Amino acid sequence: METNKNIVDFMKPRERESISDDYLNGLVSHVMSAVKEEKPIKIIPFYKKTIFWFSNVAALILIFILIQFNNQPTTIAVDFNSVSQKELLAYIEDNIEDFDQELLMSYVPVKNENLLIDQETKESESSSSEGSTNENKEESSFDKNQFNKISKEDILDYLDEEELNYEDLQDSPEIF
Amino acid sequence: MKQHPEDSEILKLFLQGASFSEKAFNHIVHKYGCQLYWQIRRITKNHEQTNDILQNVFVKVWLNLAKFNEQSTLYTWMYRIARNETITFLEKEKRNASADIDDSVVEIIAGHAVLDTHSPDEISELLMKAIDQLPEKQSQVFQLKYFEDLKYSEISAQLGTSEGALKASYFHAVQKIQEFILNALNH
Repeated sequence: METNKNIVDFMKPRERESISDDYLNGLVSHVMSAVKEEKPIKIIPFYKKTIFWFSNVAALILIFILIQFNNQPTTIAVDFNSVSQKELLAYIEDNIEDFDQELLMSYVPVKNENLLIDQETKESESSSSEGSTNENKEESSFDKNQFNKISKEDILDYLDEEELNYEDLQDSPEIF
Repeated sequence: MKQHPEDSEILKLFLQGASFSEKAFNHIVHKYGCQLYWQIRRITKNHEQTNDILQNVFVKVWLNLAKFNEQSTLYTWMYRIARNETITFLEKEKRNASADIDDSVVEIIAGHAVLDTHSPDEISELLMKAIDQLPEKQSQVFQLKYFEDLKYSEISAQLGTSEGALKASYFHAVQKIQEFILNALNH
């Protein structure tokens, strides 16, 4: 027995078959196809596609109908004979802001026009001057005072200019 | 032996993407495929299983090569993948042990009193177990020198280790293998 030799020296690797280039080329192509299978491109199946397109078309039709519906003037047939005038006026009063005033005026008979305007001005005055009613009182009293301060001569001059008869006006208690 | 580009060139090529990656991958398979094949087959002792494992190894190489950080050499990185993949595969396939088993890895040269009394299959199995017990570097060096019959200069290029260090690794590997086999055979 040779003592200097290692045990490995008494073992000889068995001869083995060589690995051909064809095998390695095949290995490359196998690996490449396996890699492509592992990360497949997301393909939507045909049936999913049809459902997708059907739902899209349905959604578009729905949107189209809704747009059409919104664009159409909402004409509601109302039998005005069945509605009392009181009810109509109450409705108009409640929804007056929605009406075009000029349009309303065109429908109001001329006779009532002044009334409407008066009412409007009264409303606007009352709304705008609710907080300033005291101011208005002061103003009216101021007017009377101012009027008192005007001399009789000035008044007579004014009447002359206006060609008014002083005697006729004497009956008016508001002035004198 | 075919000349292949340096590992660094292969990696650069791979990182260029698309067809360059495939070309680089082709270089890798042709450069290291044979060594990795036999590294696996010495354990599986079967071509079919080796083929399946090797495919898995190269799939992992392809998927992870862009993340390869070059802390080890390309061969060492792939050697580890192959080793782990082989162990995992054999764990799964324990029940389906293949009937088509290779011949022994080694032949016995007459003249050693202990070896002469045992079959080549027994010794081959012990040898593979002994290799498995070795540290990674010694295992690599032993397999590349003993089975692949590479020169130290070639192993040096492949493992990025000096030739002197490789010779020392091989010497230690052989000592440990002898010790392991003799212990196993009660000598």
